[in-house]
Amino acid sequence: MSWSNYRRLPDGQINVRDHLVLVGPNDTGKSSIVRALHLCLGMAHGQVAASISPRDFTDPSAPLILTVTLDGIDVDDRAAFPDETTTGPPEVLVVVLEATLDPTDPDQKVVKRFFPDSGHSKAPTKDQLSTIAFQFVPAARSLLRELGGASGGAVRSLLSGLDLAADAAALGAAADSYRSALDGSATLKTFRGELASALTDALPTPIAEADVRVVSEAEILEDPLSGVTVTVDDGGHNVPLAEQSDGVRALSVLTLLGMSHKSARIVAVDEPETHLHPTAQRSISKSLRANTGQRILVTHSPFVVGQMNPMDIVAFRADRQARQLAPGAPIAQHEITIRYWSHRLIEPLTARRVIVVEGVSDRILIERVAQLIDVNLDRLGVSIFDLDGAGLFTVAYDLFGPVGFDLPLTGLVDEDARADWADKIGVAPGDLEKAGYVVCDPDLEGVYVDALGVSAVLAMILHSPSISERSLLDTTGAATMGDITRDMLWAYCRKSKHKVAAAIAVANGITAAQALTLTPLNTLLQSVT
Amino acid sequence: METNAQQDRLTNLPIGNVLVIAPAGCGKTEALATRAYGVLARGEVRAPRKILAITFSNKAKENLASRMRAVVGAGWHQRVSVTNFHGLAARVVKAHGTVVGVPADVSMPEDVWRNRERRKLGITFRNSDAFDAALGTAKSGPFDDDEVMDSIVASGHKAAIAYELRLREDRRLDHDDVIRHAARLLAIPEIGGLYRAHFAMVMVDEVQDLSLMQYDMVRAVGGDTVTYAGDPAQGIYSFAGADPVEVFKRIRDLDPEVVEFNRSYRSAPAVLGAVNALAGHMGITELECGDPDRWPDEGHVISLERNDTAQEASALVALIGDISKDPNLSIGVIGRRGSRFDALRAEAEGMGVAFEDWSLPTHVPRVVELIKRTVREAVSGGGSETATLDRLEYLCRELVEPADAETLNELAGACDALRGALADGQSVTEAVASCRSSPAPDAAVAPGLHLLTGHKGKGQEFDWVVVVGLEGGHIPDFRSETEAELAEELRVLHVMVSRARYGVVVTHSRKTPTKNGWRKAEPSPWLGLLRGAATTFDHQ
Repeated sequence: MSWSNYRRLPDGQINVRDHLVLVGPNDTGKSSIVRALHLCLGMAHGQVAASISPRDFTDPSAPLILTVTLDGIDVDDRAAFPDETTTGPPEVLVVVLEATLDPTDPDQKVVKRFFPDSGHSKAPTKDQLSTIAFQFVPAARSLLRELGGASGGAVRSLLSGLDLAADAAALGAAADSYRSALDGSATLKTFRGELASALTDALPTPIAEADVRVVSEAEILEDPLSGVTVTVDDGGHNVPLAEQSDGVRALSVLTLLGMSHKSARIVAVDEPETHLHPTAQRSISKSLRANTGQRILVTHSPFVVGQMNPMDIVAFRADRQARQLAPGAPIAQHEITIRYWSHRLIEPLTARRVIVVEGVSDRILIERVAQLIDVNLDRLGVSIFDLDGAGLFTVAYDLFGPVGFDLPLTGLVDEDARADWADKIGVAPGDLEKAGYVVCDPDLEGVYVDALGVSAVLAMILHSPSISERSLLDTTGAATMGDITRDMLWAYCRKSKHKVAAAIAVANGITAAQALTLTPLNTLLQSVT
Repeated sequence: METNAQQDRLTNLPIGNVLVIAPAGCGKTEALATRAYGVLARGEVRAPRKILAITFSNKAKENLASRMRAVVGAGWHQRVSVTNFHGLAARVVKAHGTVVGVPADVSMPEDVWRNRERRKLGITFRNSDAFDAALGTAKSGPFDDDEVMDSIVASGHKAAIAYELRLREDRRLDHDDVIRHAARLLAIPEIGGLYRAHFAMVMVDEVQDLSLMQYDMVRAVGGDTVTYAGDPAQGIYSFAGADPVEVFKRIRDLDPEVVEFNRSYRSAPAVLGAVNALAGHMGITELECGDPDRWPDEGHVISLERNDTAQEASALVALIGDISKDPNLSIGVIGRRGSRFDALRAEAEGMGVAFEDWSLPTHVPRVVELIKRTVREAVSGGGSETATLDRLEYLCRELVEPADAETLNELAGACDALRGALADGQSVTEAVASCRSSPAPDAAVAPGLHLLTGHKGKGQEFDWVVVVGLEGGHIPDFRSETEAELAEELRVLHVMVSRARYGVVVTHSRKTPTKNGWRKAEPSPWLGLLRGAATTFDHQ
């Protein structure tokens, strides 16, 4: 799909693949994308015209153009779109929405939704919209509406997708007998008489009792399932879905939507995680993904993102630029690692810049130093991503780097991994700094022990609840605290067992003046400001 | 309307190859609408699929559409598309033409443009045969543009070559091009497949008028779901490429279910007498009156003979005045050639009798209605009369679906006629006001007087039909010479007479006009057959 002159988004386009997962900070355009799809594919004709407003235009004096190209055309699509389908290859269906505002009166607008390759200018018909079968569940959805029998709700659309032909006779007979019971009821007859005489007083023409009928909604709408709803047993009571707890209702809506592949082929859900516990968020995403049909999800939930394929993710940055993996991106070979990271991905993917570090201890110290030297990483949109080992840089580079989401990328690396990182980036080891990376020699523990001095670091780490004099002496083999040398302390702090605790302790103890002496971290932070 | 066993059988047949042999007036249009209703009621066609019904002209399309509305119900068009061949072909070419290299901005056929270019190249009715043959032959099959050009060049007809180059230079298609490209496109499996998926059943009316290329189009769109309705006795379009003998053979080769109608629900017994007199001579089935009690009496067959066409015209205007005392009745005056009722037209105009001349674009009810509805907006834009007319044409075009080539063509013709009126000093408002408004613009045939040729009258019906000019040279037309051509002329006469419901008038003038005076006219060889069925003689 592509958009131009749309809201506050820079003109752009994205590829929607098996599914679409939109992530990004608030107010960056995720919901606008879903709205664009809804405008092009879902809304009835009158609804489209009515809902386009001046705020849909970046520049109100220029036309707004939304284009959606559908592929995966099947025989039902061909049946619905004989003129509109482009036979290709590839065989596709293109829908365009074009809107213009009258410059003198913004309330006057011309909205056209059409198929540019069809040879005609007709808007999609009802048949065609039901074949596309786009269903939108807004973030502010009413669980009551979705789960009650009301039209447009999830229960309703599932029920209306059922083929009742086999039961038509039985349902018809039941409806007839219900109708005659209503017509024959003495109580209702009295009621009809009272109503008729009251209406006669109120209306210009008299109403007779026989003119008034009490009928079921099913009879008027000629739909035997009109007005019915679904209940689920809850401790011996039949409780309508609409009256269950928030969590059960939220789960039910999404489960029903997942099931509704027959009646809805594309389901867009704004924030499916609302009201749900993380476990439920995960399981619901799994079921949304597993069912046939295409899902469009707007989410802030790492648990939802964690269930989806990174190829399906589109990340919006604070500047409303949309990014996604290019076709054939090499991340496929890293599937397992990326799934393991998946719940941490939203932040880096939507950041302006990513700093990759080897481990948690690096992140702790960078964040603390940034705070002390007054660098606001959140405001700068900088995300620090710890790899859990320098070796995983390859995966991070494929995911965030130029062949992945193409985010501005820097990193902090120990001297021993310099050659590997430089090789991955494609520069000579000596040029890693030129490529924007910062190298700690030999590593961050070495850097802070040297910069702050042995006694200062010892004082800081002894404040840690998990580090004691005894463990220091046992581990280093020093007889007294005074015997601990620079190398002993460095070796202690860089041991994986102590690394994080030491970093937390240093972060707690370090002053602003001391922070300025940690040269590599200052270099790194200056490079992102 | 009551139905008979054959109609019920047609309604109840499931979708498949079906051949309906339906002579004139046997309720074929009604039967097709009822078949559509039956198929829909049984759930054989479900959204988003539709039934496609193909007719030959816009008038026939309106006829069938109004029957569909009556039989299927108000929402009929959601499940049934009624179109004519050119409409279907134009739709396919507009949607997919680029696949075979037709430019996306190509213009659909317009008689105005065509006639102007032909005039410029010196083509008149006197020398058009070779010109039409060169182009017609080249475009008679699903050939590509190179093959077409090679064929025209091979004909050696310089004007035809020049004309074809002009067409391409102006990015235009002729009628034959639209059909040819549509046939090519539908032969592409992916494109034919789109329409086969969309149309769960196809019905074709007047199959005796199909060319082989059109038959192939029907097969491409309809596969084995097609109901073919027609009547070999009404084949009068062989000059336009129809090949009823071969088409009926191919349909029969599909081993279709065959339903034959032989009861006329259109015509009163006396009218059927005249129709059957011709049928007997043609060797085709004679029809029974399906509903004799419906008529107040037997109906009328009047033989009118006068000394010349002027006397004939005044007698006819008087007769038409008598008939028109019932304002609900329609009267069709049908000639083999339009020029035969020049005298009647003049007389009717002189006597202030309103009529719809089916050869005039300013008389096409839908188009006139469109122009009259739009003229106020066009005039409000100001500017010169010419600019106003241009704006009027533009505004009207915007209101017509781009694929509706026939209406666009008629609209262009009407605007051309209005330009003529402007040249005569009228304003746009005056010229538009003088266009004839139909009392019932949505009806295929409104009450009142209609002037038309036998070919245009196909598929229509009138309460009264006046067949003018049963003279040699007119019926049969002087250009028809071979046995096959003469047989087709007789079929034209049969079509004319069988348009009538309650009364038929057949006229013979002993003298007909020439350029400079009068010529003695021999009676048509078939006049005797019709007089044998006459109920009234009015010879002076």
